[in-house]
Amino acid sequence: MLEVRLRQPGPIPLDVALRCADNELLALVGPSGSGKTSVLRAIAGLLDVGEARIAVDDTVWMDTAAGVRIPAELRPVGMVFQHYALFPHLSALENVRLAIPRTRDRATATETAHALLNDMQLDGLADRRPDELSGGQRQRVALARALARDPRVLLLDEAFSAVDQPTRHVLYEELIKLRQRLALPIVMVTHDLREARLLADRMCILDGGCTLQDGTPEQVLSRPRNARVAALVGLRDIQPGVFLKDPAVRLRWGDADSDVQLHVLDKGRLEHGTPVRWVVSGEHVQLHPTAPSTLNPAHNHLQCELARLSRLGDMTTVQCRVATSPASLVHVEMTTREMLRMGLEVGQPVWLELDPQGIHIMPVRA
Amino acid sequence: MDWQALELSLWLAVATAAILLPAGVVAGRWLATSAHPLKPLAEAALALPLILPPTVLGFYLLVAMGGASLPGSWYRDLTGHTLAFSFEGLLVASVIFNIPFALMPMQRAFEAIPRELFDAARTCGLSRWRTLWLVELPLAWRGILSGMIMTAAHTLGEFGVVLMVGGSIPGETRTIAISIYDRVQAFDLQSAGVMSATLLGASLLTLVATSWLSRTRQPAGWSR
Repeated sequence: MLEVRLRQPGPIPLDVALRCADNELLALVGPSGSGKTSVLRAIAGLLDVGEARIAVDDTVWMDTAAGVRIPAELRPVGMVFQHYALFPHLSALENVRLAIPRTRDRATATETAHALLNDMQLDGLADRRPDELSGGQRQRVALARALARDPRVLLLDEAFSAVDQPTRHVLYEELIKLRQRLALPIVMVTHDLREARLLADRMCILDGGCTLQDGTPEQVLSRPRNARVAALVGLRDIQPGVFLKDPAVRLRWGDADSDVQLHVLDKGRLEHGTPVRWVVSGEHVQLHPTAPSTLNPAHNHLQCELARLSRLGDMTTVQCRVATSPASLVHVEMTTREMLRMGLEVGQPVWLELDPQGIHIMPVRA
Repeated sequence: MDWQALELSLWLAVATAAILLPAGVVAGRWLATSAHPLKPLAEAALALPLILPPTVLGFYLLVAMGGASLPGSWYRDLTGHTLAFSFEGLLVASVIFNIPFALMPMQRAFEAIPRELFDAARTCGLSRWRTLWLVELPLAWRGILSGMIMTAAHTLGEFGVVLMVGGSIPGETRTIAISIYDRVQAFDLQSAGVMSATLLGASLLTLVATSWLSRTRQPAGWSR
């Protein structure tokens, strides 16, 4: 288990607490300058933080309060850098062998380096220098080198960002396979939410050096803690509203003039009249091309106008405008095949069914 | 051809390069990686021989090496002769006026190493000493060699400082550049011509070598 607590007012402000269990992949997600890479560098020992405690199981790597500071070169960390940072004057084999602890003799180290390269499907490329390898092959050498130290923690700093899309998917598969063999805490920095959703067991959303939310990708994406998290995780329809309790629990969509009110669940945390932001997760929105013959009384049914169709290959985004509140827009993602099957066209009336279970309400921060 | 002057010049060039090699690597690396507030001042002071007239530099060195100065009198008490007008004095002057020629290519070579490689070296468990040996020097060797070649070539051709500090004592301070001047004064244009052609060839070779080294400064596939 990796446990990290970092705090400093500057020059890079940080207030981060995170944990990553063995065999768990934690994705650090946030905008540029949010402190993701600084957290990774602090774990590796490449960045000194004013107030810090970093421990792996019972071993403390950094504890400013106790005056403990293990230097980077003595921390058993494997790190894959964004641009790989392979030593350009060394072959793939030499790059990997360099990271093998010196306690092993040269023959054993060479054998281990060959085995690591073979594990990464780099058989026959051991003598090539980085400039003689493709982007994906360099990435694999970097991963083999990161594993050469028998690390207790694996750190991936946007490790997949510099390769093309097809190569990236092959590398994802290899990381997934690798995780079946390694019981390591893995911390990955990424800008790519799809990547985080695909690979990570947990996501930690960072902004301005602070942890905003930590949870499984499903939790974070369907129940963002606040509007900022919702925006950072790329949720499109972050709607304004007011939470009402009197005479019944309702969510008024939009400002005070709006008459669109939705059934929602009351968790007892909000007062009547609290201004909120809300999102609805895609799986709880159903689009009907014609008026539904039977209505589920517990669900919300809204008559809308189909305002726009944005077709992007296999997927289509349908923009719906609520008939009684033209400023209120909802985007529904569906397959292009489904859209064609329904025969949707811009301007036609459609009906949206919103399940209150999928409506997530967030208070507006003062 | 003044073979004695040529031999003395070559010894001076080799000795100067030998002294500036470790000093240049240490100073060049420090200047490349340091963010010390006094770094610009240090850089300016070390580059001074580039723009200072050789006679001015020679004058200060002559005064510093003379028996009236503290280092000069200390050296005279130690060895029985002054540092000025001796090979040792010439060597000290040669090292000083060659500092920028040795240092600048080395500093640029160390600066060209991406910072990410230092981080990678640390996460690979390399100590600072092993990082220097296994990563930095193999990547900076072209700049280091370039600095050595520039130093040797500049030593062969330096005139003003050598004349001020060493004069023209055969076998002791008379370098090939001084010898050319002496031969012209004596109207021995043939000897002056041969020696000038030798220095011209050496200078041309130096420029070809440094040009080749700078063209192949970084290995292909530099990781950034």
